[in-house]
Amino acid sequence: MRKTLIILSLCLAAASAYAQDAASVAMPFSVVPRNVRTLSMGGVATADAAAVRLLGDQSLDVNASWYNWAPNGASSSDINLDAFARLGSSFALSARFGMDSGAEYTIVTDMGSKGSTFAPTNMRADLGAAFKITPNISVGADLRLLSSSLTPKQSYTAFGGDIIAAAAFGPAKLSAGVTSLGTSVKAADGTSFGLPTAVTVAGKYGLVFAEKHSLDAAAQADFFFKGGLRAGLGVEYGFNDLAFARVGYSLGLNSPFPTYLSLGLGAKFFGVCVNAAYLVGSAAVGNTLALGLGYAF
Amino acid sequence: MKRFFIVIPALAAFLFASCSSELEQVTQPAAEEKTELTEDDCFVPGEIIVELSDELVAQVEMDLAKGRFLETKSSAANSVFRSIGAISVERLYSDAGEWEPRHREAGLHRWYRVKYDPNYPRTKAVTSLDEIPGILSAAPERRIKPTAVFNDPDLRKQWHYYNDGTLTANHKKGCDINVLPVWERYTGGKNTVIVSVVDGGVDPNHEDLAGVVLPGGSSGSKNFVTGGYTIVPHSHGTHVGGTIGAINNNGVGCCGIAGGLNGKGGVMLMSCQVFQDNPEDPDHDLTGNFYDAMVWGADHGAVISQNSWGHVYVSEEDALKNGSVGYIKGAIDYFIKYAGIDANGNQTGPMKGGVVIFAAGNDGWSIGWPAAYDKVIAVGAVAPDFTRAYYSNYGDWVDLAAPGGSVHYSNGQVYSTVPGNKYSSFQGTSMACPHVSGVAALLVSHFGGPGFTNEMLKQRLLAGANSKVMPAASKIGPLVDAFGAFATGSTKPPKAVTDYTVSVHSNFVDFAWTVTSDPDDSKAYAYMLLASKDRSKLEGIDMLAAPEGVSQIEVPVGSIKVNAPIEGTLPGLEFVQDYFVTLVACDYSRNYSEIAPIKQVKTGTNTAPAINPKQSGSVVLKAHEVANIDYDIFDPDGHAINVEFTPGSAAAESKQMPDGSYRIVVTAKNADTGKYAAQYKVTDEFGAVTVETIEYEILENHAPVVKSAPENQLFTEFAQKKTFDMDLYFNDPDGEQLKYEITTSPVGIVHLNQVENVLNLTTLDYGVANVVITGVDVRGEKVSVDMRVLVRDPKSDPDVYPTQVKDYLNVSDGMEKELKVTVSSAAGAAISITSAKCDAFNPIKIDMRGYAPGSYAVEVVSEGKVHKTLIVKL
Repeated sequence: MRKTLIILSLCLAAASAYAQDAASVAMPFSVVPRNVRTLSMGGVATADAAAVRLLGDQSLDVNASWYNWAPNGASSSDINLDAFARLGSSFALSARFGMDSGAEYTIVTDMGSKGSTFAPTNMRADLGAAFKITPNISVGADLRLLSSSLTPKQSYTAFGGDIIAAAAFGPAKLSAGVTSLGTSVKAADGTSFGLPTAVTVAGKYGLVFAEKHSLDAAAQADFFFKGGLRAGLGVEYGFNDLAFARVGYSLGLNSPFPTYLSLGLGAKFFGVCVNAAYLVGSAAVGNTLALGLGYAF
Repeated sequence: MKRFFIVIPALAAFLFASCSSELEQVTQPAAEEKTELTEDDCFVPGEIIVELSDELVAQVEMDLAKGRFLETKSSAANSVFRSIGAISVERLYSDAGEWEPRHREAGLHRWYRVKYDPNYPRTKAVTSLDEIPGILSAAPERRIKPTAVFNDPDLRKQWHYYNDGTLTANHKKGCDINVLPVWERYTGGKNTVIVSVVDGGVDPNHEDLAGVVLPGGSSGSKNFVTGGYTIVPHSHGTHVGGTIGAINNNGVGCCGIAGGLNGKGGVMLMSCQVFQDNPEDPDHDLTGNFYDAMVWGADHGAVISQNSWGHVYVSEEDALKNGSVGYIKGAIDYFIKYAGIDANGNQTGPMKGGVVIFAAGNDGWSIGWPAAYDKVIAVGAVAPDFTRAYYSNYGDWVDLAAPGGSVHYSNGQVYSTVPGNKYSSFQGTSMACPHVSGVAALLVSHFGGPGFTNEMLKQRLLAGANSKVMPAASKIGPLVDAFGAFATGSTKPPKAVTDYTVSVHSNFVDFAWTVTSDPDDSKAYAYMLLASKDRSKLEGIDMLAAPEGVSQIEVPVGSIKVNAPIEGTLPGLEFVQDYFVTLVACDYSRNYSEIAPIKQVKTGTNTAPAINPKQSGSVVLKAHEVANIDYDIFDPDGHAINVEFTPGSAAAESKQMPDGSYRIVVTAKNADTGKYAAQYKVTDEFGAVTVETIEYEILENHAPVVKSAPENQLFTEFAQKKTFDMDLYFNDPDGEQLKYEITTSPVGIVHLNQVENVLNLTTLDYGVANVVITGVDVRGEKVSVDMRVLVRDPKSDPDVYPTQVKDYLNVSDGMEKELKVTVSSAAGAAISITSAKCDAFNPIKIDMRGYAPGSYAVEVVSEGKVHKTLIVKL
């Protein structure tokens, strides 16, 4: 336990160093996990990709969530939809949609004169598919539309996508791929900024013991093309497949995604699940609260 | 139907009403003698003008400088000063400052005014002063009277009496009734003459008519509207009455043609009121019994009937077809026959019989009644330029033209009295008519007496009129000429000049002689100066058919009295030629005297015009400078000259100064840098040419530069003021005083007021304003400095701007403080953390050029307080 605390302290300390290179990453909101369960488990999104899910036994998983994201920082109110549907034994489709409505800012000129206000918005829409190559190996791909509206007259759009391959080894699933491949965004001065493209590696392990207890663990590491690392680690305890408790840690090193600790609770009954996540340990995203409602079978 | 002839909305028609007339004897007012001036009246008491020698001038100036006004180094002068009771010695021409050198060159400094005891005999004082060594001449100071013959201040507005062509460009010289010579030579009107003004009531209480309007009563004025004797002042009647009889030389208002000479009035006006203001219908006057009104005048002493009214017709055709003198004929005939005559047929007034004078009418028609009745004198209206007034009726039946004025000309109407001690300008044949009545009144005043008849008066009026000046097409008769009416019929020429002097300069011959008398016109009207190379052409010359080869010019005598010196010049002769010269006196009727003794002269040569620069040296200007180069340009012979100016560039222009000299004004900014030459070319009327060239150089302009930039300004509340001297921020290498242009953006933060080089700033609202001060030189070269003005509430949050960042994000918090600034991405990653000191004008600048477009959270920690805001990077 002591060792764990030391590791956590080192990680938090490392994360406190600001990430200048992260500034050059366009559409950073696109890396925010749009699933409450994933968020509460350290943001291990790759471990929960469609290709990984296809290797599981769920046929349908639909979630809706609301985030009060980063109330101490950018402060946005996010609405997310997340769906996975198996079509036959070897194919599945997935879709995601997220809309962030940021807090208003007052338009202040170069001279400091104040004018009207404006609330920026961010939008992400994904459509993906996964295919099982063998009973234990699958691949999946997402196509993504990203948009930011920053002023009454200026908005930015980019297209991207992920490619993930997954393999199952009994209760363990490994996945790897490339995320956020896509077009760049051109700033007002003509400079182009790329999406947060990263090589991602994730692992997931599920364990059921004493009949009513389960323990799922997941870990993920993203290596950004522009440098920087984000790593996530999450554990979920389940009781009788009815109630769940989750904890996670996300480490951002020169990453567009911050370092934080995540806590989560969940409940499931006849396929309907309710999830909550709460983030701590970060000046910017601390106190983030996420609530989700889903249905899966 | 009747109307009066002023061009205003037509007045109400009225019906003739018959009324028996009443014959009463008019008491003749006592005659008033014309005041003759004595010699004492001609000089200023106790003042003598002296001309000093240069030596005495030097002494006097030294004495005056020491404050010794009456104690000179000249014992002779001191003695005389004491004997005549001298009070002061002062320069006649004051020190002229910058013009003083020229004044001295002209000798003006040598003239002094000596004031002495006015009781000391003037002649003796002059003689005493004249004998002082160093006093070159001494003479009593003669009084000066204004050009106008009377002191009435508004006489200058009455072009209709004396039009010298200077009132406006449209006023033609001589388009008047030529009454000034009558006032000077004959009379201003006598109160034994009564003019019946059949019109609106003449204001008897007007300051310029007081005492000249017969009081209402059984033997005076009468109101034929009410039937009573109370005259109700009426603007039309008062205006007409003022033209005839407004008092002259009383120091107020205007003049009347027969308003006397000495401020006490001239002829008398009998107001026979037939128009009266209608309080219930201001556009239609009440009217009275015109028949009785006309007859009343004849029966009560008037010999002139003044009528500025007429019948109304629907059209010219109606007037031509149906018009006639009407029933008023009886009244007109009665006035003509019985005015000035008692019940027994004896002449009781200054004239036997009367004259009836009518305005022709304002319809612009070829007919007008009753003016067209052949027994009346019909008067048409002339504008100030000898043209028929646009409204005047016309035709062969119009006997005389007189000034009626026109609104189509600036100052072109007739100026006279209106009720309430006021004055106004009207136009119309109504205004022309009293001019003839006034002249008639003058004639009766002068010629009137036993045996003088209305026919004699009429003959003078018509025969003396000026038929040369009116275009035949005007069809309103000859222009009434007061002097001509007096002079007509004169048969005796003035006395010939027997002694005169001549001198020659260039091709001019100058004559000097004295005014001669005229047996029947008091004095000569004019002199004809004559010159010919052939003596025989002058001997026995017929002035009415002067032969070719005789040069002549007329010199009017004007107001110069008999035996007083007069001068004249005969110009335009050939150069260097022998001429025989003489002069002839004449009266206004062109009766010529014998010629004066013939003299022989030889004309001189023509001298080219002179162009004398008033200063020397080259003219070199910086781009912002202006140079004046003055010249005296004249013809030594006095010939007319034509001055041509070639500027050399747009920078130079020539103007003639009030004193007649010329000035080249070089305004350097109007031309490019370079050397130029301007030129005067002056040509006299005989072709002699003088050319003067002046070179001027315009130096290269140097743009202004910034000397020091103004400091940024921090204010913490509204209505704070601060003043800036903008000259401190700029320097112009050419030494030019720059002009400043001020802009501020955005508006509404500060109010800026510029007074020359001073900028006054007042805060209006919170915010930041950028004030740009631009110094501009004369060529438009400019340089600017910026000054940021921050009006900031000291309690406000830190300033984070702009919130739509393109490159740098600025963070400050008013006064100097240390801030910690953290910028986080939308995903929550802290991207930059900066801690530094800053102030309002030196904010922490965070370079966001490497930041991807998106929204960012900014956290500012200032003095332990955390402030958060959202920005976007574009």
